[in-house]
Amino acid sequence: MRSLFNIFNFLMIVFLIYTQLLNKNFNNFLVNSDDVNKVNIYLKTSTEKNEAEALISQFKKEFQFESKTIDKNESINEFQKSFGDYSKNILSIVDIEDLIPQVIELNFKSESEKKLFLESQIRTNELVEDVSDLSQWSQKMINIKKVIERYILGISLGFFGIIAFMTFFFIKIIVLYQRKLIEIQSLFGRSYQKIYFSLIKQLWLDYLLVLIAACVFSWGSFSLFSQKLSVQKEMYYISDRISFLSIGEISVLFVILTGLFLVTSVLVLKQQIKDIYGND
Amino acid sequence: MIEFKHVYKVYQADKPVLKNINLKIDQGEFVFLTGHSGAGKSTLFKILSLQQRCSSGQVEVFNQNLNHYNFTNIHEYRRKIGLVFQDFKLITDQQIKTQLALPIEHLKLSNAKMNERIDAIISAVNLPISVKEEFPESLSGGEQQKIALARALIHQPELILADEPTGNLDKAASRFVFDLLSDLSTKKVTVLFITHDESLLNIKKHKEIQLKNGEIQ
Repeated sequence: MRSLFNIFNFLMIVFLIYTQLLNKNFNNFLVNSDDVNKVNIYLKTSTEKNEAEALISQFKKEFQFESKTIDKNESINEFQKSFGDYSKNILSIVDIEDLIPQVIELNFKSESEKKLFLESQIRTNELVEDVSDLSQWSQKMINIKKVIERYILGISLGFFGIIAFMTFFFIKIIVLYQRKLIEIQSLFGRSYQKIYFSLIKQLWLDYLLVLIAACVFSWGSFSLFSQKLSVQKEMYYISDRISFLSIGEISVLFVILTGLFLVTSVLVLKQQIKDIYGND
Repeated sequence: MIEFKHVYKVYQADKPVLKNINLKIDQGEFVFLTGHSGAGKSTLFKILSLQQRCSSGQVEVFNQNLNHYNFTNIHEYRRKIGLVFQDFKLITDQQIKTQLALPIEHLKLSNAKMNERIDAIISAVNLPISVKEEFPESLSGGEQQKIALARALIHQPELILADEPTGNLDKAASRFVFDLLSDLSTKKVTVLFITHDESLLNIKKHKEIQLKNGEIQ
């Protein structure tokens, strides 16, 4: 019965870790999705650096924003960072430098300021190739992120609930299974405290081993999966951007799980042994 | 030593199992508790061993009201008494020596002292020392009851409660168990011997309390 309980706990903890991994890595992909006040201006490829600076100065006279200019080299670096080896293959066959524009990122103080800017004559400016308003895209991303977060929270709460219930259920069965032994020990002078502590020690030790095993297993299987992805050219950029839970994230999960397990096991075990010791 | 004052035990409102039990057993007495099946003998045993509580009245053992004990301190009482059961209540997957060590584990004796006590008690119940390495399954019914007796005596209790200890034994084994417990009363140990075996009652004259339909006759 104890083995069954340990296997169940192991699976639940692995599922929980994977749920958190899913959450974390979705967020990695949806990063910057909350840039609602951001506008990207793509300049014509022929635009020089000083022309770009002059353009920013001109905008600053009318609007309040923070700006960042991404020149061609930075764009290429960003492209390489995002697409890893895949980008190197492209760069080796295409002379991409002439195709990449300079980009000015404008981050407005408010949404209304951004709206005024977009309503101005910016799109018709001779240096500007295109203007990208990230708010619509951002809003979509925010909505997706919220839905995913809600689902993951629901699933996690479900797992926590199942773990608490099954801990309650299994401990009842484990005590029931050992009832005769506990009764005999009690009849021959073993104290309630001694029986309680020996059982709780056994349960906690099992739980800690299962927790460590589940964590090692999750990390190992994730690393293996990530490694498998990295050797496939079309998946390389995914493997490059996914990551395992940080020490902090793992710690939070462990603290919640351990707290849940400790509280449930202490309360249930105490009551169960008390019932055996108690008399009508 | 043991005193029952107006003790009732009721499971169903209209059918009390024990009715107005008043009895007194002094230290060093050997007392037979007899009665037909369902007379309330085992209920009285369970109340004395604190497996159950009386519904009303008062039970005192060692001048202490048994209501004083709850699940946190019940072991203090049980360490002062020795229990013998008809079904032996041995733990099937534990060696005999482990089971004999149970009532004295709280004394925290050294291994040598513990072994000494175990060997002595095994000899006292007339079994070879080597039996301590065995598991209950490999022993006969008579041998198992001797081990159960040894477990009840190893901590030198002042009170022995034996519920039909000869119920599953042949004549020779029954006689051995009876003689052993009977001799204890000469050592100031109080023994309450529950039985419906009439042949034992005639071996040696002891005080007898007879229960009938939950009442003392």
